[in-house]
Amino acid sequence: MNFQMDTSGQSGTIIIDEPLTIENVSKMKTVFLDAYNQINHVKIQFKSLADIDLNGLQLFCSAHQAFAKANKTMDIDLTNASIFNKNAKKLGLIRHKGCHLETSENCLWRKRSSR
Amino acid sequence: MDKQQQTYREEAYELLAELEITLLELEENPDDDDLIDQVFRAMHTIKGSSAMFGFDAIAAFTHEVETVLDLVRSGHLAVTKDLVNLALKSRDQIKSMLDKPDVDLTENENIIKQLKGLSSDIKTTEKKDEDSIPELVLDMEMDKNKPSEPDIDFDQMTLRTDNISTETMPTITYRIRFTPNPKLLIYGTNPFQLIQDIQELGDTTIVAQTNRVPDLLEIEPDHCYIHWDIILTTDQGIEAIRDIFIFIEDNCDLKIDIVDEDGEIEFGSDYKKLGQILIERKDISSDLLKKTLQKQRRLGEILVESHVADQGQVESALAEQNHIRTVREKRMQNTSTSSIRVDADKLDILVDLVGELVTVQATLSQKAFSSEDTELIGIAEQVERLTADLRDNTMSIRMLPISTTFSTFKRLVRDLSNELGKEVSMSTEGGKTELDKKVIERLNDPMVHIIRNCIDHGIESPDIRVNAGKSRSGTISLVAVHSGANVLIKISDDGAGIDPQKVRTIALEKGIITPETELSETETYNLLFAPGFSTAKTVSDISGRGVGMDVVKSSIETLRGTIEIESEIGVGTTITLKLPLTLAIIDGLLVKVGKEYYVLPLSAVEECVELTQADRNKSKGRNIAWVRDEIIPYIPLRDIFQIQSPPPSIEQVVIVEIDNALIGFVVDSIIGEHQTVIKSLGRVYRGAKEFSGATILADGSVALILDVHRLSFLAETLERKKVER
Repeated sequence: MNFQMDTSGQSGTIIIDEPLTIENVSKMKTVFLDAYNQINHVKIQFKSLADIDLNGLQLFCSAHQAFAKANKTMDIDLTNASIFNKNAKKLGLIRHKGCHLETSENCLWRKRSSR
Repeated sequence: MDKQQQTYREEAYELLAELEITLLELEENPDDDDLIDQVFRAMHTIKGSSAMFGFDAIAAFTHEVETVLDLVRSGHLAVTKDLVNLALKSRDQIKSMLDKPDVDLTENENIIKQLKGLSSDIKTTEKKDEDSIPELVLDMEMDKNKPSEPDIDFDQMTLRTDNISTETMPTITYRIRFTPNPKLLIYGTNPFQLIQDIQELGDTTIVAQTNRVPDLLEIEPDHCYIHWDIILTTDQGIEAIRDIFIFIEDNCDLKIDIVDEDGEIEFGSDYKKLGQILIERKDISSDLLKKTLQKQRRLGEILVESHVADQGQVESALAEQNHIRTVREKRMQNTSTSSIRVDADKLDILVDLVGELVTVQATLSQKAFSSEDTELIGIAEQVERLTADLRDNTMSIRMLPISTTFSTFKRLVRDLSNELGKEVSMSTEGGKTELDKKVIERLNDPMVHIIRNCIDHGIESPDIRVNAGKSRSGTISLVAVHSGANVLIKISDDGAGIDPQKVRTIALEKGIITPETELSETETYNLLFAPGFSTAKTVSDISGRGVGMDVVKSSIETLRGTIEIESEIGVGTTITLKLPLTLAIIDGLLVKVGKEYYVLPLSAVEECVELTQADRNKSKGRNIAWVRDEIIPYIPLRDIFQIQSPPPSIEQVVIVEIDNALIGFVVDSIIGEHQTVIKSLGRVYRGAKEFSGATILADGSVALILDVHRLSFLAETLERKKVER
C-alpha cells in the first residue's frame, strides 16, 4: 500500500493492494498518519482487497474520526473491495446513522442502498 | 413412494421454485447478501432433506453446488452472470432428477466441472483464506461420516408429515452485551467465528458499538475497542450462549439478559398508539397527524444531541426494539396463519361434493316452498344460507395468488431474451390477485405463448431500439386486476407494436379475408387469432409457425375468458385476458328453448329484450333486433338446435357481449338467475363444442351451459354457408 500526494499539496490518494488484517494494520496506520499530517483530503482506492478483519475495519473508523475532527475529508472508493462491506455487515457495524462526528451523512457504517 | 417421500418431493419443488426466483433477483442485485444467503439455505435444505429421504444422487449433486455457493457466501467468489447461469442450470438439473429418478447423471458432472472452473478463478493471493475454502470434489459420494440430520434447515422446510412429531420449543430473546478485553484479538480470537456461532443459535440482530474507538493519533491498531450488543431469539438455554464464550470468559465482560419470553406477549404494552386511536375515531386526519409529528423530534435525536446517550447506544436500543417487534409479529403470524397441506385431488372432490350439495339444496328449497310448510321453509332457508357459506369458503380454498404463475415467466423472459440477443426486463403488478387453481394451471401455456411472441415479434433488438429513441432494454409488464367477477390480466410490451396494414396484407394473402372486407382496427387485430395466421417471415423456434394465437384464443375461451389486443406502432402492444374467478360454480342465466333448459354465463349478459312477430316483420326476415336505435344481430337458438315446435308469440333476446360486439340469443323464455355448478360433459358429448358443460337443476333435470363464443362462430359459419348456397 502507498500514499501519493497530488500536485496541489492539499489532497492525495492511498492505494491499497493487500489484505488489511491484524498482521499489517500498524503499517496501514502509518500510511493513514502520513496522509493525515500532510493533506486535507484523502481518497482511498483498492486495487484488490482479499481480506479485512476487525482491526482493519476499526482502523478505518479511527482514521475517519481523526479526519472529521480536524475538518479534513476522507473518501473511500469501494470498487474491488466488496469484502469491506460484507465483513462490516457480519460484524454488525452497518447502521442507520453515524456517530456525533458525522457530517453530511458520510459515516463509513451508514446503511446505503448500494451496500 | 411413501408419504414422507411424497412430502419431501412437494417441499423440494417449492424450494426449487423459490430458488429460481431468488437467483433471478440475485442476478439483478449481485451484492445483496440476503439473497446469497437465501440461495445457499435453499440448496442446503434440499441437500439435507434429500439425504434424509434417500435421494442420494440429488444430495451428492447439491452438495457440490452448495460448496461453490458457500464460496460466494463467504465473499471469495463474486456473483456473475456465469455463476447465476450455472446455478440455474443446477436448479433445473435437480428438478429433472426429482421428475425422473432415472435421469442421465452425466449432466451432473458437466455442471460440477463448470462450477469448479468458476471457483478455480479465485486468486491464489488469498493465501490466508485458502485454508477455509471448502475443497471442491468431483467425487459424487457424500461424506458418509457426516450425519445428514443436522443439515436440515427447518426454517426453510417444515416437514408436515403425520408421523413425525415436532415439539415446539419455547423461544426466548436475550440481550447479550459482549465487551472484549482490548488485547483479545492479539490472543488470536476470531470475532467473526464468535458471531457466527451465536447466529447459529437463532435469529440475531448484531450491533457493534464504535464509541470507544480512539482516533488515529491514539489508536493501538491491534487492540479491540469495539463492543457488541446482540439480540438473540432462540429456543436454546442461556448455557448454550455461555458455551460460545467459554474460552474467552476471562478476557471479556459478558452480560446476558432475557428481554422477551415466548407466551408472555404483553398485548397491553403494544396497544394502539394515541394517533392511531384518534384517526380511527375520525377525530383527526392521518395527514394532519403526520404533519404534526414531523414537528416533533424523536427521542433518540434529543438524547444524542443532549449528549445523554451516543448514537451507537440509541441505534442498539432501536435495534433491540425492532428485533422484538419482528419476533412478536412472526410469533403472532405463526399462530394465526398455521396451515396444513392438503392433496389437490381431495380439494377437487370437496368442490364436487359442495356442488352436489348446492343442487340438492336447490331441490329442497323448491320442495319446501311448494309444500307451504312454514317449518320446512325455515329449515330450507337455513340450509340455503349454510350451503352458500360453505360454497364460498370451499371456493376460496382453491384460490391462489397469480404471482405463483407470474414468477415462472421471469426465467422465460431471461432465457429467451438471451437466446435472441435482446435486452428485456419483466415487471409484475397485482401478483396477489387470486384466481381458481384450475384457471391458473390452464393459463400457463397461453401466457407462455403470448410472452414468447412479445419477445420474438414485439421487443426490438437493442440497436433498433436506440435508433428509435428508446432505451436499449425493452420491458414486458404483467398486470393482474379484479374486474367484477373476473380478473383482467394485461400483458404489455414496449416494442414495435402491430402494424394493422401488414396484418391485413397477410390476411389477404392467406385468403382469410377478401379485398372487399372492411375491418375496424380491433377486427384487424383479431385476424391474428385466425387459424394459420402468422406475421413472421421466417419460421423460428420461438414462434411464427402460424399456429399459436388461435390456440391461445381457444384456450382462453375454454376458460370462459376473452382475449383482446391493443397496439400502437412504435409504442407497444397490450394483450388483455379477461378470466372468470372460478371454473367450478358460476352465476348463470337459466333460459328455456322448446322443452329444454340452457344456461348462459351471467357475466357475459348485457340485457334481455322481448322479440315479437311485429319486431320480426320490421327487420324483414333478417336476424336483427332494434334496441334503442341500435341494431343488434341475433341468433335464434331454435334454428341452431333445430326445434320444430312453434315458438311462443313473444320470445326473449338475451344480449351478450362477444369480442366487444353485442349479439343476441333468442330463447323462448327466461327463467332467471341460477347458481350453476358446472359438470363436465360425458365422453359422448365431448364433440359438442358449443356447450361448455352441464348443470343439474333443482328438479334433477339437466341444463346445458352454452358457450356463447362457439355458438356465435357456429351461427356465422351456418350463415356463410347459407349465403354461398
